[in-house]
Amino acid sequence: MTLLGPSGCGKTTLLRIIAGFEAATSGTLLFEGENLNIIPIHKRNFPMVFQSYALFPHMTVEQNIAYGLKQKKVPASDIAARVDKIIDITGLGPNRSKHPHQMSGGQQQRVALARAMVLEPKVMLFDEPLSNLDANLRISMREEIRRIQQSLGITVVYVTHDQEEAMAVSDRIVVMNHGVVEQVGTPTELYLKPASAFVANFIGQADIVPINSAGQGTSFLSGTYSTALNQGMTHVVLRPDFAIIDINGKHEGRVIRKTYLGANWKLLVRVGEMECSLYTPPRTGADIKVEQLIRFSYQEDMLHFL
Amino acid sequence: MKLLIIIIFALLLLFIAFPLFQVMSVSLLDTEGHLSLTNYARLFSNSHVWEPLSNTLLLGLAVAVLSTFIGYVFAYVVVRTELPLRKITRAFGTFPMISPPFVIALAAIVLLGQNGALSNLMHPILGDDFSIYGFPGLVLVETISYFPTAFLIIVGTLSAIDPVIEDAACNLGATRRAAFWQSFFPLTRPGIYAALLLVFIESIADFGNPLILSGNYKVLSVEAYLKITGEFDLPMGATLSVVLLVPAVLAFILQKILVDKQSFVTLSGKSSGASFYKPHSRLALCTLSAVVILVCAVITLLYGAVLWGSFVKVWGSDHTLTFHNYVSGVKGSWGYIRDTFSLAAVATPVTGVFGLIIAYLVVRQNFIGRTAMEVLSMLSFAVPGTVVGVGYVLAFNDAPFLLTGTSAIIIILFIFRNMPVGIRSSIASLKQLDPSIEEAARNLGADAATTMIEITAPLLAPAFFSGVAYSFVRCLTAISAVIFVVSGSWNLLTVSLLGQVESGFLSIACALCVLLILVAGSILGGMQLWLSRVGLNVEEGDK
Repeated sequence: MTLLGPSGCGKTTLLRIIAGFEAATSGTLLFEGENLNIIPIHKRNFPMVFQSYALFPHMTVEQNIAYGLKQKKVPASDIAARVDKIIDITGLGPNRSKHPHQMSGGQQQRVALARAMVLEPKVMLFDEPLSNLDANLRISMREEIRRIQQSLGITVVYVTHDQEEAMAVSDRIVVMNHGVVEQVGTPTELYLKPASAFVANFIGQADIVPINSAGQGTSFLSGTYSTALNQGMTHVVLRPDFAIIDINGKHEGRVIRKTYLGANWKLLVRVGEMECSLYTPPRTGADIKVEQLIRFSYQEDMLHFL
Repeated sequence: MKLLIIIIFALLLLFIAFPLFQVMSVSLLDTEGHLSLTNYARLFSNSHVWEPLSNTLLLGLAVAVLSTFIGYVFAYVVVRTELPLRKITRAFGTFPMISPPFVIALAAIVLLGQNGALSNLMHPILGDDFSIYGFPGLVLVETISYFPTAFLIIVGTLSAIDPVIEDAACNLGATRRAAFWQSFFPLTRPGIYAALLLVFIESIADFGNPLILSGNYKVLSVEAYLKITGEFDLPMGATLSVVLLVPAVLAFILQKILVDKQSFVTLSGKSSGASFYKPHSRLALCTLSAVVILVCAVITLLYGAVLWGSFVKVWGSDHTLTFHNYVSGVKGSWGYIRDTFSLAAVATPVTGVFGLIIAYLVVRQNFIGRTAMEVLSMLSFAVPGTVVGVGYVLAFNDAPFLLTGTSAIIIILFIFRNMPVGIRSSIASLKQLDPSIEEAARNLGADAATTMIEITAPLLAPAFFSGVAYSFVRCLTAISAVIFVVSGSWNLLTVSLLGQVESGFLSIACALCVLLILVAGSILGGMQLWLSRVGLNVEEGDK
C-alpha cells in the first residue's frame, strides 16, 4: 500500500501518525481492532525505514540490525540466528562489522531495510526510502523491496512522491492532495479510471478536455464517439498513448511541436482552441512535420469520463 | 521530566539570575534601604565614573577594531589562500585562547616594563613619555588576547560562503578586486559585526590585564573590584558593575539582532565545494603575509618573554638562567595548585552533565519557558565576570544562602560560568544529529530513557568531552569572577599568580604561567588527539 502525493500533501504526516511520532488531532487509528492512539511509539512494532536511513552511526551493521530484537528482550542466541538470516537475505555479509559511514548509500539502505525486517513485523513503514539514491540504484532497490516484501508476505505502508515508483512497488495506491485522499485503487485502476483531474494528471500524462453529448454518443475535439454519457459527466481524460494516427481519424489538428523521447515521438497538436499530446512510434513520427495537419482517433474503450 | 525542568530553572534562577538581581537591587537602594537612584546620582555627579566609563568604552572600541582586522586577515589567509603560512596562522590564531587572561600583560611588563628586556632598546623609538602601563599597553595585550575570538568567528563565516560566488562574479566580468569587494566582502559582514561586538564585550569585561597594566588608566572592572575589596563600598561596587553590565548586554543583544538579520550566507543551495581560486595578486598576498608575520612575531615575542622570564634568576638585575623559579614557584603555590585542580575536578563533570541536559531540553523538548532557559543559561556570555563576582559576594553572604568562604561557592561559580561553552557545543551537535536517528530507536522498541542512554548520549560524547576539557581549562585560567569568592581556606592559582605579579616576583609568575599553559595545552591537545583516535572528529569548540 503506497501513500502517493505531491510534497506537503500530508502523506509523511500520516505515516508518522501510524508510527506514533505524531499524534492525530482527531480520529482513531485501528489495527486488528485495537485502538493504537493510546499505544506508545516503542510498543507498536511497526518498524520504519527512514528517508535518511537513520542508522545508528556508533554501531556496526550487526548491532544496528540487532537493536530492535534486543529491545524486545529476545534471547541472545535467537538474535544471532535471526540477524544472520537477514544479513543473508539482504546480501550484507561482507559488511557485517562495518560502521554506517564506511558504506555506500545503497548498502546503508539495505541495513535500514534489514534492521526493520528482522523484527518480522505485521506492518512495515517506508518513508521515501529511495529518494537519496541515484536513478539506477533506485530502480533495482525498488524491485528488491518488492521481492522481499512478497517473499515475507508482510504489509508495507510506503510513502513516495514518485508515481512511477509507486506503480512499481504497490498493490494499492492512496493518492493524496492537500491532506485529503483523492483516490484509493490498484495502479491499473488509477491509470485507467482516475477519479479526478488531479489523479489523472498526477499519474501519468493526461489531457482533460470538455465534452458534449451528441445524440446517443459523445463529442470532443470535434470528433464523435458512440459511448453514451452518464449524468454529470463533463470532461474526458485523454492519454497520449491511447491515440492512434489514422487518415480516417475522428480528429484533425495541426502539429505545433514534436519531441523525440526514444521509444516514441511526442506530438503536441492543436485542435481548434484546445491542445493535446499524442505518442507515436518512431517511424511514423519521423515523417510528420511541424505545422502539418494530421488526423487521429483515441481507442474508444480506453476513454474515461469525469 | 517536568520535575527536572523545574529543578534546572530553580538552579539557574538561584545561581545566575539572583546574583545579577542582587547587584541591581543593591545599586538601587540608598543607605536606609529605600529604592532610589542615590548611588547613581553620587556616581555620576562625581567625575570619577565618567573617566573609567569612557576609558573602558574607548579601549573596547580600539581592541574590537584591531582584533577584528587581524582576525579577518588571519581567517582569510586560512580559508581563502594557498599560502604555506596557513598552518602557522591557524595555530597562532587560536593559541592565545588557552593561556590565562593576564599572561600577555605579564609578558608586556617583562618586555617593556621598567626593567624590561626591550625597554632600553625601544627607548629611542618610543620616546621618554612612553609607558607600557596605560592605554597603548592595554590595547596591545587585549588585542593579542582577544583577536582569536574574532578569528574563529570569521573563519566560520568565510568557510560558509560558497567560493563559487566569487567565480560567478569573475565569470560575469568582474576583476579579482571587484569580485572581492562587491561580491565576497559584503557576505562576510555578519561575521565582522559579530566579531566586533563579541571582542568589545570581552575587552570591557577584561579584568586580569587591566589590573596589572592599567596604571593610571582606570577601567570599570578594576574600579568595581577596588571599591569592594579596597574600600568595602558594596553599593558603589554594585553600581559600577551595573554601569559595566549595560554596554556589555547592549552589545550582546545588538550582536544577536544583527547576526540573525544578516544571515544570508545560508541562502545558497548545495555548495559545489570545488572551486578554482583565481590567483590573488602578488601585492595582496604580500600584504596579507606581512600582517600575519608581524602579529605572529609579536605573539612569539610575548610568549617567548614569559618563557625566558621563567628561567631568569632575579628579574631586572641578575639574568643568569636557572630552574629555581619552577621549584620555588610550585613549592610556594602548592596549596593554590591543589585547590585549583581539586575544585576544577569537582566542577567540570557537573558542568558537562548539566550543560548536556540543558542542551537536550532546549533542542529536543517542547515546554513553556524553553527560550527563557536557553537565554538564562547563556547569559554569562554577555555578563562580565566582575559583575558576576560582585553578584556572588552580594547574594551568598547571608543566610539562607551563606556560601562565602566555602569551596562550594567557587565550584558553583565555575559551573555556572563555564556551562555556556558546553551547552553551545552540545546544542550544535544535537542540531546536527538527525532526529530520525532517535525516532528510529523509539520505533524499534526503545523507550525514551533507553534512547537517551543508548543512542543520544554516545553520539554527543565528543561534544560532551571537548566541552568538559574546555571548561576544565577555563577553571584553571579564570580570574575575573572567582577573585571575589576566593578565601583564606580556598584559593586559586590564578589569584596567587596575580599576587606574585603585583609584588614584583615576575620570574616566579612567569614560571607558573608556563606550567599553566603547558597543562592547559596538553589537556586540550590530548582531548583533540583522543577524539580523532575514536574517529569522531569534532570541530574545535569556539571558546
